[in-house]
Amino acid sequence: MRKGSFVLPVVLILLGALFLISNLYPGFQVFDLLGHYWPFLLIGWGVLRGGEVLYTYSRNQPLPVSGVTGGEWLLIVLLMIIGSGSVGFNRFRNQFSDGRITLRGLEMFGEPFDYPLSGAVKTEGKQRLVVENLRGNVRIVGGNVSEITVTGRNTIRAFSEEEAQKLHNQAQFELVEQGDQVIVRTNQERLSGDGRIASDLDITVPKNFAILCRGRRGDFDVSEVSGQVEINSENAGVRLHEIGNKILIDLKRSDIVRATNIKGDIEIKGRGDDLELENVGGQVTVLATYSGNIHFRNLANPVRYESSNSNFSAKKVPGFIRMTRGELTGNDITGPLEIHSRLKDIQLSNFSDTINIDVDRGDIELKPHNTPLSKMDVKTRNGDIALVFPEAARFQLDAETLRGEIDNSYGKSIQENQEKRGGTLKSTDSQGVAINARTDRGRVSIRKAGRDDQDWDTGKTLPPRPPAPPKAPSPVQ
Amino acid sequence: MNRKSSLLRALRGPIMLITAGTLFALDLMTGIRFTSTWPVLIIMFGAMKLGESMAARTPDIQTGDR
Repeated sequence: MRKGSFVLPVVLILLGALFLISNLYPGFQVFDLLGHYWPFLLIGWGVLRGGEVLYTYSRNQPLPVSGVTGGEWLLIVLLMIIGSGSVGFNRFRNQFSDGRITLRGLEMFGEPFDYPLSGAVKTEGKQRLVVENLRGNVRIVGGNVSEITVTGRNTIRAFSEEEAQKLHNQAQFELVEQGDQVIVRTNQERLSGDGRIASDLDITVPKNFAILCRGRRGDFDVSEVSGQVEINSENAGVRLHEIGNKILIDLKRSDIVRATNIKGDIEIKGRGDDLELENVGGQVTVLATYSGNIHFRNLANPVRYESSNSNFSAKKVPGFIRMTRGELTGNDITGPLEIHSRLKDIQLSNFSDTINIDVDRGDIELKPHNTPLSKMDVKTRNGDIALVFPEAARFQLDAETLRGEIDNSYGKSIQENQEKRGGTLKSTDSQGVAINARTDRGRVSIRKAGRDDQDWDTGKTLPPRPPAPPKAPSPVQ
Repeated sequence: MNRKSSLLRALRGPIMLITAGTLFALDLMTGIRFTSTWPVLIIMFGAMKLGESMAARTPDIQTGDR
């Protein structure tokens, strides 16, 4: 090893430390940090290396052949890939999301030219509409009509009008009748050169039609149909309203999926950012990772959500469940309720039936309203647990913290046992349902619900956290 | 090759690194995109090479060739 090359080890130690911290504290987003500040790591690296060379030079020691070794370049390239990965990808995604290619503000394929599209077809004996549109937005509305009408436009990027016209003719929009289905094809794949064309379509269909949409990039907006709706795309925002049947959504990326007033089941797969489901009559199954805000409201049947880092299920949600990156808030939920997550603060009020919560890191606050209570199993590895129970509740509490305070403001029916580091709260009464609560590190408290206790707000903004209850004076013994 | 030119050669890597880092930082923080500023890297590389060959031609009296 060459003398004095301390920069590589320093960078390695720094990177190792970053990843170690992110493993120990899941809230610390190492990739976000790298994504935003990696160029400064390059600058710092260069400055240190340059300083080293200058120092060697000033001391008249033999100079290295090159200031940055091959191995270091390799690590630098790796760092650039990781660093630019998240941020760069997001930016690219946004740039391409409108179906037009601009590279850093530069129009790559000349100017845009618009061409109108239209078509209509009678729907006797037909039951299903298939839309195949790689790029562009599609809006479908059901109505009391006996034909399918399509209007819209092709937006084509070309250097001249003749070229645009040629491409437009090449793509040849068509309405095809096939068995019991009508297919709307924009035939963009016939054009060479990806992304030179985008087709925006406005489609009216008979109300009872089933809909299948396939695309690569562009939004889908479907409303007022009573058939099944299926949407497959690589990148789409999806908005569904007043659908009378089952919904299947499979997206690789999405900025938003919103479904309101849906009578049938909903199945969602893939990935995306925001997810909003409201007034759903069927079952909701989300086997997908939505990393933005998730909002469920008024779901009449079982809901199951499984993502890479959080799972929950409930029998129904007459109220709401709202989930952000670090919080899950809910009110008026019917159990059995299960929540498993790596990192979430959980606040639930007015729930019924059994509840099972297991989080790695996060505070848990539970305010059941109805008595008798049902069984509860609540566990966090790192976080506080606060139980706010109605006065009439009968339960057998078994609460423990391995390291942290305990606080009983509930009354004499609970025995406090504060030990050196942790403590336990146990019911003296042997009647009622089992309430098990355990944290490895954090405070465990229980108190009676007062008049001031309110449910979690159903509004879109998350409620501020209530102040911690005052600590009861320790009983004189 | 004299000592000054080998200094420039040794500094080439670090300076390229600093330049690249600055361009990427500009890309992230401001609207100046790397796709439009990347030729700066070529210019820097050329300038460094030029400096090296110029330094190699001028004799280094102080230390001579290393």
